[in-house]
Amino acid sequence: MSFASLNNLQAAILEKNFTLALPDIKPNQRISPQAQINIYVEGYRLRLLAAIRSDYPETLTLIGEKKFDELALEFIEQNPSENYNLDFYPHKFANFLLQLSDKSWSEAISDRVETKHAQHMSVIKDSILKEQAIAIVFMGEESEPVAPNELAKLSPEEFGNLILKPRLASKFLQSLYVYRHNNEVQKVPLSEAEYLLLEKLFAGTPVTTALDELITNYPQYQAEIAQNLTNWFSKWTAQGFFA
Amino acid sequence: MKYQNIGFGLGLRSPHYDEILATRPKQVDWFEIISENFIDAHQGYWEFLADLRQDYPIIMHGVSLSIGSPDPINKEYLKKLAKLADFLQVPWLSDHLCWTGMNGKNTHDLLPLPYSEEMLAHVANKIHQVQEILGRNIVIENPSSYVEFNASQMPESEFLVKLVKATDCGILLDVNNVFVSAFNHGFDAREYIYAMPAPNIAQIHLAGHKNFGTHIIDTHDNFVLDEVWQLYDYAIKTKGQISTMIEWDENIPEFSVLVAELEKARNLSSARLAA
Repeated sequence: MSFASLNNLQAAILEKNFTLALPDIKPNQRISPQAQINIYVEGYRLRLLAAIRSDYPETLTLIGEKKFDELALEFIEQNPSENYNLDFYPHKFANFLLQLSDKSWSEAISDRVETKHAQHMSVIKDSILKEQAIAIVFMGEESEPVAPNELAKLSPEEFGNLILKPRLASKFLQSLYVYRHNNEVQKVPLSEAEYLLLEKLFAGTPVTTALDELITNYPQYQAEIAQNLTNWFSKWTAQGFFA
Repeated sequence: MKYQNIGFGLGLRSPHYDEILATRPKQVDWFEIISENFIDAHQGYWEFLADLRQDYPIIMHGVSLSIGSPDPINKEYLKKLAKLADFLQVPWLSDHLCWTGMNGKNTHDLLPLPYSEEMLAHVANKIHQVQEILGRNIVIENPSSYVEFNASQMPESEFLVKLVKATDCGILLDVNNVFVSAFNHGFDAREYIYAMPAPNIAQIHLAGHKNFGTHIIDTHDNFVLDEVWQLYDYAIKTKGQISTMIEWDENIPEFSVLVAELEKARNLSSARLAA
């Protein structure tokens, strides 16, 4: 059956299991069947590795090329591609890296620690999350932003009751809002107070309630919020934060 | 001829986007895009293509149709292809005589098929489905390959000719792929080209490859080699003038280098037709 040959070749490529595929291959005087199949075996890994490297350049630098490739190849062996579009493949690599045990991380970065270990780990994990967010947001569907003049039209009461949603193509990280606006991936750093307020807003809390809860739970930010609130909303709407 | 000759084109690659938009080069008659780079991309990319489309025909060339796979046709993917094809009013769209994976897996490679009667019926059936969904005939490219199957019952050229007869699909004759596979599997490249039905040849691809002694890999990372230019000359001599493009996907050079390579194709084709 022709399809059996396809299945056998795929097993060789994805699992490096050549047993069934080898008898299917027509002999060639210059090159062995295994070497012929290996062209596809190596091509598959190089293609996926290149896609992962392309999406995580900063993480690659932080971990080091050799260890990064080892980890990426481990991910590739465990996770065959299931989407026709290779651009989606690297998205889950971040989850793979973040699930590695502390022992694996210690081994991974043992020869590259220039700062204290825990500090270095924190920088790497932030980088992984940021680069994953950028890759996902890049491929996401862009929604229409709320225009600044739409908010300006609202009465204070209407504004206080307003529920603001994040943009459709967006990822909200601890200190960074990554979203697509004007066909570009935007990366806006956030202060802790900004993050806490946006977290509540993006969870569907009306503006006044979000502010009340924030000041109650984090009184240390009361002065900062009072001083910056108008500027924050002006900046956020101008930058297309909300959908 | 079923396909209009639209001249000499280049693959549209991201390092050249800005230069192409800024200069609108007259030496390029049309551009070919990789369909998958755009069907899932955001609106900005579609706006870029719409801008380019004002000055050039755009051909869509896919790598994910996986026409030989036993898996069912991905209708969602085809709908996206059709949407972009309509948007760009493409003269034609193409993919490969290959499969990329099965059982939901994807190798992201253009894997060869066993050229059997059973496979011929399977691929023809799938092409009928594809053409029905797209509302137009698809153009199929001969692949470069590094293995041949014992299950094959006919040469690739015969398989392709029979496929055209069964479906009236077009052919994207990749002259470099013919050369690569002819070397790897020991068939006559000219016989292969001679067998192709001229009215169904929509387009020709030219590209660079790398010879490892025991085998050649279709790398698209360098200039078209002399042997492939000779084969292109033979294709023009036997099939007439056909829309031709240069593929260069790795180690992509300055745009001017690609234009010069395209000029070489144009000159060679003109000289052959004048002879």
